[in-house]
Amino acid sequence: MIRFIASAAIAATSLVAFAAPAFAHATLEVQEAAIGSGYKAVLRVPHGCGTEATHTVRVQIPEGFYNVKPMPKAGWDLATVTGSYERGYENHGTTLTEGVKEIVWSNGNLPNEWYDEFVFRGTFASTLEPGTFYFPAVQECANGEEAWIDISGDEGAEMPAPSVELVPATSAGH
Amino acid sequence: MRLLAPMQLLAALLMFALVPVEVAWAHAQLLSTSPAENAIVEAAPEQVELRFNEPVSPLTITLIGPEGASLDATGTATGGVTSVVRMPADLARGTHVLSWRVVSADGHPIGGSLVFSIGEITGSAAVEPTSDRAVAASLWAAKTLLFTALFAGVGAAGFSALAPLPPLARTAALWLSVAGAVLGPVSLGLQGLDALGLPLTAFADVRAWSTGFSTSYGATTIAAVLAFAAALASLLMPRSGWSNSLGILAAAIAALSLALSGHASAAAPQWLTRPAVFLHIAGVLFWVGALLPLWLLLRGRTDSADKTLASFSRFIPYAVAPLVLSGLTLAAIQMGWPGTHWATPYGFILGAKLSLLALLFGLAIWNRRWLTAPALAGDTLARSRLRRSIGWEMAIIVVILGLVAGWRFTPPPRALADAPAELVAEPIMAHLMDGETMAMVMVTPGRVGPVVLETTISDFEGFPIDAQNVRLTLANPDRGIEPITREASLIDEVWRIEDMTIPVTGNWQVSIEVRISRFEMVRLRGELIIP
Repeated sequence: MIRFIASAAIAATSLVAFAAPAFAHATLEVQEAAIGSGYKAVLRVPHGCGTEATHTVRVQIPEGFYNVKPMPKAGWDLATVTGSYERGYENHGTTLTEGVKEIVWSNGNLPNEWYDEFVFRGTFASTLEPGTFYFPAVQECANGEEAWIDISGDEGAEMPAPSVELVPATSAGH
Repeated sequence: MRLLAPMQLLAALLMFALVPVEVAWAHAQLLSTSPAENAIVEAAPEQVELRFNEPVSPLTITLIGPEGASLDATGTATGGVTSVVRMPADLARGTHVLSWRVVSADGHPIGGSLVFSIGEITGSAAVEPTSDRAVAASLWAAKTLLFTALFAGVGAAGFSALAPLPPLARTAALWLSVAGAVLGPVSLGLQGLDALGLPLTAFADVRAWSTGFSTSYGATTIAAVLAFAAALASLLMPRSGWSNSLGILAAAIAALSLALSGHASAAAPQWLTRPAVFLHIAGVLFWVGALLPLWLLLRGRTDSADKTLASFSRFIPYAVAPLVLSGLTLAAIQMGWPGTHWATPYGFILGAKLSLLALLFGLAIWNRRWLTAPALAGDTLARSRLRRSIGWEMAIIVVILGLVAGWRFTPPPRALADAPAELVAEPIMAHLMDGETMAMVMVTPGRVGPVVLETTISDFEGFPIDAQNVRLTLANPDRGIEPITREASLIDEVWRIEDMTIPVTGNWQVSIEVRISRFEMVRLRGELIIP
């Protein structure tokens, strides 16, 4: 009987592990967004590189998320890498052909024991298809890094890129 | 007590449904070990320490010794930031693997393997998985019965699409399907026990089930249970277009289930082997499924019996032709050109199977060419001969299924062909690719023990790809060994790993993570067969 209880307990643990998706991963706070709408991304960084403190956080802005503005963060330097978009995006009458491709928060200090959030906003192009949209992100520490760049979508992926589910504009309740 | 077994089974099944989602949520991280990874220590350590970045509880700790024997050490492991695993007093000299799986406070299990050696690095090529004899015998019996139930039960359900089953055959097929639906999960648990080297008494052990499930046999079991359910539904319905379609669907799922696992399906090229296994099994299903109904029908002389016999006789060439073609293809892939490697247990089983098949085909041809027509014309002697001959066919088929179930215990010569015993030092290669990237992995020497892994990465035109770093992971879920991961270093355009020890023979899953740029990573997967 004890063995049964143990089995059931482990099964229940697994269930909980599944039901609470990966607090241990770097994730986005809002997991769903409508195509063609603005989105405030809150990147949650739950731990350092092993035991080391994080000093730099980099986020890649893939094609299709435009008019991007990062939020400055006290204690961190903020820089962006800009470049040309593959196509132009309409923004209140003007066509944007270039913008932020990467955001870098650097020279900060986020110990492994602490938690922090990094914020940026932008707009999802109306030409995007519904599905998972990934923002690959890399945490850099003194002697290593945590690269959340796996966009395979594998359930068992060890370090998945932070992602948001894109849904058609109508179903998002505008 | 009577309630206990089903409840344990239920718990195990619950696990079985959940296991795939509990893989490697990166949180707790292994920081260091004592002895260190790949260390050679003079004296047997009293304990092994695994230090993590946060407290963990051990789930499964297995120690695999130089002889290949698995020892469950979960009970002696402590939890905490440092997990201490007490070692048995009589540790043998040679290379050991400590395969661990722990769960951190937030409920995310992680696993890995620590390789260390006492006195000297060993890795004898003769290492055989030591499985409990009772477990091996039960597994073999369960699989033989499962195959029999699958071919006779689901096969009959499929055959009923062609002709109505006699009542006794329908009842037999029903019970075979019920038995198969139970035997499927039972054989999965036994597969897990066999992989971990646990005794029969550990049947309710969660680890056996999760290990069984993590092998490709897990998918086979699920599909087989679905096939039995579809066959049951089709047999319980009154005969109609619906029940016929369900019967055919059941047979298709059954053929698919066996194409999902096994040596033959694992062989390259998979685009050829998997469809070949599917066709092979589908042909067997039609043939075997028809035998019991025919045997029962031939007891008397009715119009429906004659009709069934005539339609069987008309359709059987369409089942046998793909059966023979796919069988020859698979045998050629598995065995290669004739040579000394044919004298292996795998070769002997194939030889025995082929001899029995020759006998079976002899009977079948005799039946079809010389007995069917007179039997249909009303010749009583021909009818009773045909019936006896079908009885023999059924007996031979059960023996063949028993032989096929024995294949699980022998690796095919294909696996040994790359490095026959006298040439064990030859490197073993694996070719991995996805839509855009290819990797060639070379293991030198191609045997267990300390090895050097060399990986070259290129695009589809063969031009080398500049990577920032390359990580290679080896895992052996068949033996319950958790992943061993190493960073490669770039030397003369080849990514080299020198501190890897492959502890046991068998099929190792290899996965390579290629970091193309800061934000881009490619993962390639494949298999290495270490003889």
